[in-house]
Formats: sequence, structure tokens, C-alpha cells
Amino acid sequence: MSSTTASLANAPTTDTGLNHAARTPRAMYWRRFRRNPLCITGALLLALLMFLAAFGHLLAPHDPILVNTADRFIAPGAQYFFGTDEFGRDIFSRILYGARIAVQVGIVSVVVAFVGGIVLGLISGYYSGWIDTILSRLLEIWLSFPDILFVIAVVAILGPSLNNVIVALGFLSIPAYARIVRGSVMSARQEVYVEAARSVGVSNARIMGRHILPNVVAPLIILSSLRFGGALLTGAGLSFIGLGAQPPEPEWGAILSGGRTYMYQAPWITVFPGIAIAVFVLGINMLGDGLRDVLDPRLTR
Amino acid sequence: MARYIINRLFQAVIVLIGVSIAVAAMTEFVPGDPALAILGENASPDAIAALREEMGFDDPFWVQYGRFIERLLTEGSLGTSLRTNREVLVEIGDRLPYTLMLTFGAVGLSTVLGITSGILAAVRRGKPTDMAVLVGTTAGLSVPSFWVALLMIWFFSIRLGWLPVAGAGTWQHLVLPTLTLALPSIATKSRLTRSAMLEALGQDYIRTGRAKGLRERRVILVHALRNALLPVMTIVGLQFGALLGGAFITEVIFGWPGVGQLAVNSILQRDFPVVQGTVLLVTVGFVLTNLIVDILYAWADPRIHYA
Repeated sequence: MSSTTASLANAPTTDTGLNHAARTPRAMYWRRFRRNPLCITGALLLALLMFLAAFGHLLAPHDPILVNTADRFIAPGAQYFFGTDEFGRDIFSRILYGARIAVQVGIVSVVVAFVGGIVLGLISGYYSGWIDTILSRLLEIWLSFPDILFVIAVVAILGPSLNNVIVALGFLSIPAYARIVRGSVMSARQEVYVEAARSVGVSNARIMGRHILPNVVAPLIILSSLRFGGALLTGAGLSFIGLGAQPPEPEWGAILSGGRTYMYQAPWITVFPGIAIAVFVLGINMLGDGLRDVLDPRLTR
Repeated sequence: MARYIINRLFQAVIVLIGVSIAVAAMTEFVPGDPALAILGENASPDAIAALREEMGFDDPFWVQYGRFIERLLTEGSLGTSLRTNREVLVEIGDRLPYTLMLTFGAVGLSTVLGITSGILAAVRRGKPTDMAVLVGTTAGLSVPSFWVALLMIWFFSIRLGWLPVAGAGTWQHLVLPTLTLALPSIATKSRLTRSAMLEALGQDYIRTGRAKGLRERRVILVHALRNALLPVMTIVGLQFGALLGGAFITEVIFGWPGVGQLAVNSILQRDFPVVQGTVLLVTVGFVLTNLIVDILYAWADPRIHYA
């Protein structure tokens, strides 16, 4: 809980922040971010994941998909760092290529949820009345499906594939974003500065974009980091049971699943992708927890 | 209070109608011809036409939905499985006891372990115990439970030979799946209990209790815990529904013959009536649990007045 004490210790400084003319809110957040160990560790792990997604294919010593039956089930060593699987494929290279898939799952699903949630939330909160009533009911029905069940239902409709899982994960999170946006739009609508903007003839779209949205950026960033980690976990889980990435795609959950049968003779096939998922999801969750401390000190655990 | 319950019931009815529409509409959203998707690329045009006719895919959606509801209400039927030709409700009914066994086990285990570790962490705030719980819960939320499941199978079933690898039948079969399912849930409940306890321990009545010489044990377990438990119990209720859905992956790993395994197999075999039936039943279960939790909450916490 060092982060808690850290942000509490910082509190007086931030309160008197007005005395320092040069200190903008952004500088203040950045300062708190740098001093928060959760944020730093999480951000570094996320950066590593992004780096692997971008350049992993250059670092990979072997082809991730090419079958090489002469080298089946080789234990981890100098030639194959993480060993090989039943097709003689290098697990290390497969995990490196898998980083790109993991980042795709996280980013695309969060972007889908972000865009969809903001649009629905803005419309619902800004126009209120019957549009709001209908949209709110719709979101309620949407939220009444248990998480994994929702994703599974979408996959049932569209068919098992990684892309469909990504779409499903995005749609799953739309209501969470929409609720946050709707709530703050409703309260911001009462504010004097919005009233003022409207009275001087600023358009609805501009009011929403310039005057209302900036208020919800912090909770949306926190939510996004948590959903990113959740999407990685659920995406890997669904690929693991065969509803997501299909062989020979080097998705981490799918690699794990492939190693299931050979756990006795070749445990490394299951061990390494599991570690990869755990470490990066851990990093993203740490970043999420840290961002919550930094951006919203009231919510400190 | 009565008004709140009536409102909440009314709201639940609307949600359930919406859910039934969404589930009935699932086949509408299948890209291309659902009959073709079900039968596969090699099916004869006659077979596809026959299935379209049988499933009523050619009718407008509202006609299909009307038929779906009518059949459900008058015959108590959700249709028949395309693979086994058995009633969907019978298929699910055979599997449901297994899933409920697993879910109740996981809810019980995660509630006991989650609340206990949460209290310990709160009472020993900042001490090694608190740190250990923090590390444990962070891991519980980040480590994929299906991976832990495999490691546990490898260790307990393959290496030590203590527990069966998969299947159902004896209590030993229940151990690993229950643990797997409970794992992330223990972490959530532990964290929540910790923060609720910390808040309760900071209240004036706790200081009063200590000042009048109550034993620390009594202060914590009676005075603080009673107030901290309310939000925790809400989560217990909500997680029951989530676990019901979350049992899918666990059931597949352990070959557990529950509803989740049925649903996953049905998706892979494109058995739509069974998929729709499972989604509908589990979601209805989830909505009803939430409803009960909300009503109990209103009843248990007299401070809250609902409009």
C-alpha cells in the first residue's frame, strides 16, 4: 500500500499547487504518475508488450508456423529458448508473434467499446427524454448478460474466430463506457459554463466535444486499462477452448491449449505462454490501479 | 420499500422481455443463411430449404419471436436440439445440476476465503499479512485461471496422482474445477472486504467500542464486520451469476458435464436451439439473482431509502 501513502503524502503539495504559477494539471498528474510505483512498473510492462508487438517478428529466431518434424518436443535450451511443440515449432518465436495478436485484441476491443460507449452515452445523456429512456433500457438489457456469456453468444452468432471474439469483447464493454459518459453528461448539462456556451450559440456537437467530454477522460482512461487486461484474459480463455484464434495462429491461449495433451512430456509448451499472459495482464492491471490513484485520489483504495 | 420492490420487479420483467427478444434474434444476425451455417457448405439445397421451413427462418422476425414465446409459454419448450433431436430443456436439465454444484462450491469457497483474507488484510493494514494478501489478490486477478487449472492438473493429478484429471462422479472430481472457478472471485471479494473493513474501522462507533473497553476481537468481528459485510454480500450475489457464465471455460478444461460444456460444444456444432436455450436460461438466472440481491439489500440496509 505504499502507493496509498505516497498519494496521501502528495496531497498537501497538490492543494497548494496554485501557488506555483507554472504548474498545470497535466504537470501535476505527470508528477504523481512518475512517483507511483504501480504506474511505472505497469507502464514499463505495457511498453514492453507494445515493443514486442511492433518488433517481435524481427527478434524471433524461427518461423512461428513452419512445421519442422525433426525438432519435435525439444526441451528449452540454447537453440530453442522456450523449447518446441509437437510440430517442432519454436515456442519462443510463437510467443513473440503472439504479442501482436494480444495487443490487437486489447486495442481493437477497447477502441470499439470507447467509440460505441461515448456515442451512446453522449446521445443518451445530452438529449435525455425518450431517447434516453430507450437507450438506458437497451443498455440495461445489454448488461444483464453475464460477461463471458455475452461474448460466447456473439461468437455463436458470428462463428468461432479471433476477430469475432475481439468484436464481441468490444461490444461487451460498450455499456460500461456509455454509463460513465451518460452520468457525467447529465451532471455537466446543469453546469453554468455549458449553459453559457449554449446561450452564445455554440452547437450541440461542439458543446459535447469541447465542454463535456474532457470531464470524463480520467474515468475512461482507468476503465480502458482495466478492460484492456480483461480482454487479454478473456480472449486467451476463449481461444483456449477453441472459440477464438484457430490453429496454427500463435495466440497465447491457443498455444497453451495445444500443449494440453503433451503436458507430461513437454510442460514448457503450456508454461511459457501462461507466464506471458500473466505477466502482461498483471502489468496492465497495475497500470490501471496506479492510474486510479493518480487521476482520482478520492478513489484511493 | 414496497414501492421500490414493485419498481424493481417491473424493471426485471422489462429486462427479461428484452433478453428473450435478443436471444430469439440471434439467428437473425448470423451472417448469410443461418440454415446454411447450421448444415455446412456441403448440404443439399433441399436439406437447406427443409431446415429453413422447419426453423421458420423465412418468416419475419416478429412472427418467429411470437412462435418462440408461444411455444415457451404453452408447451414449456425451447425447441429441440438439431444434433440429438431431444428437447433443449431436457438437454440443459441433464447438465444443470453439475453446473450448479460447481457454482455453489465456488461461491462458498470464494466467499469464505475472500472475506477471511480481506478481514486479515484490513486488521493488519500495512503489515506483511496485508502485503501477502495484496500480492495474492493481484495475482488472482491477473493469472489466467485456465492456466492455473492446467498446472494444478499437472501437479495434483499427473505428478501426485491424488485427483482425477477430468470427468465427474466423486467429490475428488469436484476439487480442481471448484478451485479454478473460485480463484479470481476470491481476489475480488478479498479486496472488497478489505476496503469495506477499513472504512468501517474508521467510524466513530468503533472508537466508542474500543473506548468502553470491548475486546478487539469483538470490535472487529461484530461491530466492524457487520457493517462491512453489506457491500460484500452484494458482490457475492452478483458473482453467483457471473460464475454461472464463467463456468464455461472451467467445464471444458475438466470435461465437466455441465451447461457450459454443452454450450461450447453446441457452438462448435452450430446447434442453435441449444445455444439459444443456454444463453436464455443462464441470463434469466443472472437477472433473477440480481433482483433478489437488490431486494435483500434494500431490506438489510434501512439507511437506504429508494425512490
